This record gives sequence, structure tokens and C-alpha cells, in this order.
Amino acid sequence: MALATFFVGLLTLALIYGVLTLGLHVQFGLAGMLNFGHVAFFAVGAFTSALLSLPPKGSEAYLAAGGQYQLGYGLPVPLAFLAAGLAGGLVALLIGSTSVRLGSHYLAVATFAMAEILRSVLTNETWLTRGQFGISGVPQPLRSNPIPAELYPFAYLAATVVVVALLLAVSVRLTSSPFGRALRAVREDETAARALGKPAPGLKLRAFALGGVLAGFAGSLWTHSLGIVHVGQFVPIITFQVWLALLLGGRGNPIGAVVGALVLMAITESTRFLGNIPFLEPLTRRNPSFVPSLRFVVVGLLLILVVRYFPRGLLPERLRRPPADEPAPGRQP
Amino acid sequence: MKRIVMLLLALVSGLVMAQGTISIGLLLPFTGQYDWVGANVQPVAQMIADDANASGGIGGAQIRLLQGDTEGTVDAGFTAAQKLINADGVVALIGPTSLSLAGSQQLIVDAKVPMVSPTAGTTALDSFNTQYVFRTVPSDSLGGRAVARAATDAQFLGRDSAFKKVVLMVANAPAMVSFQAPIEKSMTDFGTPLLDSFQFTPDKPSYRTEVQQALALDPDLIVLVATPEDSARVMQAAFQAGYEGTWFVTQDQTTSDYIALATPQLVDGIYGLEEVAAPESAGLYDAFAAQLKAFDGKEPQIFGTNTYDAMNVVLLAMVRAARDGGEITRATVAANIRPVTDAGEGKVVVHEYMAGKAALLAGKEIDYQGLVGPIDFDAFGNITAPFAIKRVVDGAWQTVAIVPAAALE
Amino acid sequence: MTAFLQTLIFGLGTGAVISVGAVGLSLSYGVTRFINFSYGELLTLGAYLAFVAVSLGLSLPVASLLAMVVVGLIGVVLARLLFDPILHRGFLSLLVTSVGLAFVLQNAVRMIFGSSPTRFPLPPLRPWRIGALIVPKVPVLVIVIAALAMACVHLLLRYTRMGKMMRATSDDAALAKASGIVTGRVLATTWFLSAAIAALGGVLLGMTQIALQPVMGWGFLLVVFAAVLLGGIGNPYGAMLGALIVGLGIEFGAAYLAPDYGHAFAFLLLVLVLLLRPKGLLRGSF
Repeated sequence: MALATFFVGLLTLALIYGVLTLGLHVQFGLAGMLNFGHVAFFAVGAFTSALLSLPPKGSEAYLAAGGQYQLGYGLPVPLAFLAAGLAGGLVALLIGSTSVRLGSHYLAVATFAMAEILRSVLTNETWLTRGQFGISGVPQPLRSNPIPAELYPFAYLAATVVVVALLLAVSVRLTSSPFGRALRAVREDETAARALGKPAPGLKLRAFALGGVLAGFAGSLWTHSLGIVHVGQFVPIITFQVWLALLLGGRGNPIGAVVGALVLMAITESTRFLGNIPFLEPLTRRNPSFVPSLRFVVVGLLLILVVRYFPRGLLPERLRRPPADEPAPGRQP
Repeated sequence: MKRIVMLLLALVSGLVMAQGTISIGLLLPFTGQYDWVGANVQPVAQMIADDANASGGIGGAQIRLLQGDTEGTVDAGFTAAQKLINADGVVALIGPTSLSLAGSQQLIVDAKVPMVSPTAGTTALDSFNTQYVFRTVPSDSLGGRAVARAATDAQFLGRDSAFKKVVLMVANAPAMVSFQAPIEKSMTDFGTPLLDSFQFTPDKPSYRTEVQQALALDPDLIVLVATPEDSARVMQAAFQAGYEGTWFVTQDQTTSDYIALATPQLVDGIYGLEEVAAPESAGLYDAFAAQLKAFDGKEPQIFGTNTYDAMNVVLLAMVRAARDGGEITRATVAANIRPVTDAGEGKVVVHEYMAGKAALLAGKEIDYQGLVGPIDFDAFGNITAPFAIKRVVDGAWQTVAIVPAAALE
Repeated sequence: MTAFLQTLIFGLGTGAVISVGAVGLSLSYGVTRFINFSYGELLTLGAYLAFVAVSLGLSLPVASLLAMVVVGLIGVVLARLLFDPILHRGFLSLLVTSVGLAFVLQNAVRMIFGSSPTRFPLPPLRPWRIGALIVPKVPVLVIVIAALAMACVHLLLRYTRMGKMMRATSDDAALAKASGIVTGRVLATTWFLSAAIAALGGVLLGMTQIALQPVMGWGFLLVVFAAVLLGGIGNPYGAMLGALIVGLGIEFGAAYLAPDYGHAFAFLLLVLVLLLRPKGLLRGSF
């Protein structure tokens, strides 16, 4: 049972990162935009969902939760979830509109810079976020009544799977829709696409916003799974982890995005068990950080190797051939 | 495929453990910017576990320490806790820190795992849980009050007069911010409101601006709550800017390591706060320091004494649970923590593991009193401690006065 | 007025530390065209190796030079091994490889040196006093060293054959190859120089920060990126300018606006500059 809870907990987190990666896939895999500030949308989604659903200041539930935060609106969680997506999309629109015209590497660092600015603001505006204390008691729907606390992780996983499946279905549809094709055209050759009448900046901006929406949803799923929201979560390494997941799974394929997140979690969490190997124990006595550091060395090496030998990721993009190449039935070649 | 590997590893480690071992999890950062926390805690915990194992283990089983690297992030705190609690089946936790608490607190409470944190001073734990959460570090609210008490009362300073112009600088990090409100309030309570009190961003390469802000009001004392590295930088910057007043630092800096880090020249005469047991425990600390030196080759670092008490509490609770053939489980460990630490009629007072074990197995009840204080947990697992006010004299920390818990009313 | 001058000195000092790292990054980017996330770890290595050399009895200047050479060599070996074989693969592969390498390097340092902070071997220095002005010594030292290093880089690029080849390769790699400039050697030299300069940057960072931690280079990398991008990626002179602006921005922003926001000012500046000049101040080529 405990082992099942272990896998369930990790799987839920991996799926949440899968949604994050899906968002990045729309932005980079489809539209070719280098977004290195993805964690900002994750943060916005999480705080939006938490603050909208937390019991209002002064209410009974607020006091029962030992509340010390300022904002809370007591909205039902599903509503907060949708609002989180909206917020993520709006912030992405804002950030995107300033940078969508930038060349790729500039876009990368500009988005990174803006995410860091956002994090600074969230950390310092403690009236909103309680800064380094974080906010606990974020509502977790149906927990304890009727679903008992021991079974809650399983129920939450089920809900997450449903949400992810829906988002994935939408993304797959998107990829093969005219919008998706236009985006890929822009990614491959912006000038040509422009010549064919596809307005590149507008398309890219929409893709960017959509990616933000997905990240916002991920933030909502995350905060309600843990019951807390804390600004310390939204650090740059999270953005890098999502990029790693995207690369592992294959950049052009939405299913690959989710698979990549699962694979990355499998790599980072299985290496934790290095610490259980008995013969490494003497080394731990000399330097307590030895095995934990070794774990990251192993992770780093695995990343380097995977990139070297699986450059396209595990699930390649499947490009549809243009109609002119397919011979019509019955026609002699 | 990878999941299968994970499953196999988990099963293997489970098998290894099934042969008469009891696991205690160290849920702490071992990598990332707080890597030194885990590095300070582990040797002390290992030293005591070794003692226990050398004398036959507990209830016939050997004690094993398992690391759960929280990496200093929320998500890693969550996954590390998952591994320790649900995959490794640990019976108790040492840790977590104030930050990784966010990711792991729900898991800990759900799984009813007793946790004894030697590091988390955050006021967020002051009234969090009554059954499974304990800590052998006083809440920052107490520490902050002690600083204020000492700064405003010459008898605790070893000086002619108290400080009149005091500025407070607090790093904006989970482990530090808890100090700000208690110090502000206490300074006002004790009659010398702070001239200025502000937070600053940790891990900056230079603190010139912050120091400028502090020096603008010409203080005679700056209270500084930050990591050792940041503290060294702040003091350096103030030194370079010509500051002539003195400093009051908190537990993390009241170590010999800090004197070396900031250089003796910079820290001569500064004040520091430290938890301490009754005055007669000075001998106990020396014994602990000597034992650790022999074990690890180093002086006790920050959280060393807190870890000593945390481990002893956990192990003695296990001894009591296992006596008369009882089982060592999460529930029994949690239930036995207060019985071995609460004061009471006819209880034998002990200060370390072997004496405690002997008394318990002889059928007596014990009251563990530690290096950090009498270790009596209130309803929420908090402790009070007298505090020592220390000062750097001739390149080493010396105790100037003890602030008893009563003086903090 | 004195406050302004002091802020200026500190801004220049901060800018100087950043500039050394930024120039190194710019040099390597000019020739390889990808953002190398393992670059910060070369700073960390430089600082730790200098520390080791000093513990073995060498003076700090000699130790620093030794660290520069050793890290330079390490840089070439790693690049040859990991980056050169996949240079044609494209941006994302190189980026992820560099992140993997960063994990390996930072944690290797942690495995060897442990997690407890180590003190950089520099004695504390009281400031100079010129009238009412307090001039701290460390930023001035850093400025002087950085300026010397920049001068050397400039001389190298302008007047040596290798420097000219590096510039040509940065401008147009295909053309450079076609005209017989041996790009393989240029690549190796670029890696060496970039890494060696990074090591110097690490030493300067150690002087400024005093405490050495395995995570020091990684934390500083982001600000270095900001400087490089601001000045125009691929252009070392742009990097110097960018670093100066970022350094001044951080100090002035912290002094006159809000001290809490530290590095955020660097990023704010970067965003503003990119809005106005999307390719950075000095564009890409040199």
C-alpha cells in the first residue's frame, strides 16, 4: 500500500510536469519559440488557483487553517483551475507581446529575465504570497469527506489523469489542425510562411499564450495536490527540467511531451535509490553530500548520453506528407 | 522500462532492510545552496546510531540512516519524503528544514511519521501539529526575543550599558524571516524600538547597498540574521564602509567555523546567540565536541547540538517502545517521545543515549535533558531553551551570560 | 555626491567581475553559436582550484594563473569530448548537453570538496579614505585586474593571427573554412581562452564573495547571460559594455530604487534594451 502511494505520488507529479511540457511543446515544438521563462506561468497558475480557492480572510475556515494570508476568495476549485489557465495565458500574452519579434537566443534570455523578475516580485510582495513562509491549507476538494486521506492521492491521480488526457487530446487535435500546420510552417521557414499569407507574429503569440494556459493549469493541479503554495518552488531549474523533458520525449509530438516528463521523473527519482546501496556507506561518512552529488552526476551523464544517441528524443515527430506526393489510386507512376 | 528498474530497486532495498534493520530518514538538503545543512547533521546522527548499534541495536535490530535529499526545493522535498516514507518505510524522520517542510508536511502527517527537526525554527511550526511534529530547535520567535532581551539589558552583555541605536537586517529566506517580527516586537516591548528593520535578498555577491542603508542611521549595534556566507559578506561590506559598531548574530554564526570564514579581525567582540542547557551542561557540550572530533575529525557545526538531541530523543523513544517485547513502529515511536523527555516524579535524568538506555532497560522512566535545553515538548512539539549570549574574545566564542526562559516573559 | 561616487565604484566593481565572465562566454558563443549552461561551472572550478593552489603554498596571483591554465585545458578536453561531436545537431541538443555537464561539474566539486563553505584566501582590507570618500579596496582591485584581462583579449583579437582567425570564424564559419583558415584549431583555442577567462572570473567572484560554495558559478551565470545578451551576443566588446551596464544597473537600482530586487535590475535592463534594440547594443559581429 505504501509502495503504491509512492508510485501514485510520483506519477501525479510527473503528469503535472507533463502538462507543463505540453505547454512548452506548443511554444517550441510547434511554433519554434525558445521560452526560458516557462516557470513564470506555472507560478501564476499556482498562486491564482490557490488564492482564488482559499477561504476568505476572517472566515471560520480561514481561522481553522491558522490563516495568515491576505487574499482568499473561497471559489470552488474547478473554477479556480480554469482561472489559473486564464491567468497563465494572460501573463504569457503580456510577456510574449514584448518578445515575440526577438531572434531566438534573445527571446530565450528575455523570457528568462522576465520570469526572474516575476519571482523577485512574488518573493518580496509578502502580503500576497507570504513570501518565504508560503501558504498552507490550500483547498483539496473532497479530501477527508468523503474520500479518506489515505486514499486521496489515488483519487487525485485519477482526476489528474482525466485532465491530462483531455488536454492531450486537445493538443493532438491542435497539432493536426490548420493552426498547427501554420505554426509548423512558420517554425520551418518564417519568410516563406509570411509570403504565403500566414502572419507570423500573431500566430506565434497565440501559440505562446496557449502554452501559458497549459502551464497555468499545471500550476493549479500542483498546488491542490500538495495543499500548499510557496514561491520557493518557482525557480529557474524547473524551467530547465521542463526543457529536458521536452527533449527526452521528442519535441514535435504532444504525446512525446508527456512521455518525456515521465521519463525524466523516472531518471531523477530512481537515482535516489543509489543511497540505498550498502557499499557506498563508508563514502557517506567521509562526505555526507557524496552520494547525493553522485546522483546528479549520474543524471547529468544520462542526459548527455541520451542527447548524444537519441537526438530526436524517444518519440519523433510524424510529419504528414504533402498531398502532391501521394499517388492517386489507380494512376500509373 | 525505467519504472521497472525503480520497482526492482525499491524491492531490493526493502529486502535488505527486512533483515533486522530499522530505518530512520534524514530528510534534509545534501545538494543545492543549503547542502551544508545535511552535511552538518549526518555525522552527528551517524555517531549516535553507531553507538546504538555497537551496543546491540534496539529491540534486536540495527539502526540504519537513509538520506532523502531535498535539494533545497519544494518538489524535491516532496519526492524525497515519498521515498523515505513510502518506499523505504522509515520509522521516524530527522528533519525537514523550514523550506522542504512545504513539500513534505502533508505526507508526514498523512503517514503519521514522527518527525524531529533539528533545524526548522520557522514560526510556521509553532502550532502546526500535536502528534507527530517535534523539533529540537527553539522557535525563532523565542530566539528573536532572546536577542532583544540581551541587546537591551547590559547584564547580559558583559558591558557597562545596553545598546541604544539598533538596526535589524534579516535575509529573505525561509529559515530567517521568522526572526524579524519577534525581534521587532520584543525590542519595542523591552523599551528600545529598532531604528530600522529590513529584509535583504540572500546570496547576492555584494551587500554594499544594504549596509549603506543600515549605516545611514549610525547604529551602535546591527542585529544580523542570515547564512554564514551572507553574514560574512555583510560584515565585510560594513568593514569596508568603515562601520565601527558591533554585531549580534544568531545560532548559525556562533561557531568556530564562522570566525574563520569572516576572519577573526572582522568579528572580534561581536555577540552571538546560542541555545544552551542549564549552566552545568558546559561539561556535556565539551564531551559531545570531543566525541564528534574523534568520530568525524571536525568541531560541531551549526545544528550539531540540535541533531544530538534529536537523535537521542528518537532512539530513546525506540528503546522504550521495544522494551518488554514491544514493536518499533511509527505509532509506538511517536507515542514514546514525550514519555522519555517529559519531566516527572521519580524519573532518572539522563543526558545521552547509553545512560538512557540502561535506565530504561532497568525498568525506570527517564527524562532526557539535552545540549540544547531541557527538551520538554509543549503540545505542538516545540521546546523552550535558555539561551547563551556569547561573544568573540581572542578569536573564540565565549559565554557572557545565560538568558533563562523566564526572562523572556 | 559621495554616495553617488561610492555607488559608481561598486557598480564598476560589480561590472568588472561580470565582464570577465561575459567576455569568455561571448568568445565561445561567437564561434559555437549556442548558449553554454555549463559555463558557470568553469568559474566555480577556477575559484576552487585557486584555493587549492594557495593551500599548497602558492601566492594568490600565481595560484590564479595556474587555475586559469588548468581550467583552460579542462575546457578544451570537455568541449572536444562532448560538444564538438554534436555541433551540427542544433541548439537544443547542445543546450541539454551543457545542462547535463553543469550537473556533472558542480556535483563533482561537491563530491570532492564537500558542502561546507570554504573561505577564499583573501585577507580583509580596510578601505582607502580620500577626504569624505570611502574607497573600498576589493572592487578597485577587481576593476584593475579585469581591465588588464580585457586589454589582453583586445590585443589578442586585434593583432594576433589567431585572433583574426577567431574573428573571421565568428563572422562566417563556412567562408572561413573555405578560405583555408583552420577552424579546428580556432575552435580549440577559443575553448581554451573562454575557459581560462572563466577561471579568472571565478577568482574575482571568490574575491568579491569571500565564501566559496559549489553552487557559486551557477548562481552567477544568469547575470553573465544578461550582460552578454545586452551587449550583443557574440561580440566580446559588447559583452564588456553589457557587463558594465548590468553592474551599474544592479548597484544603482539597489541604492536608489529597491535593495531587495538585486539581480532583478539586471534583467529589467536587459528586457528594456532588447525592446529597443532586439539584437543587443553592439549587434552580433566583431
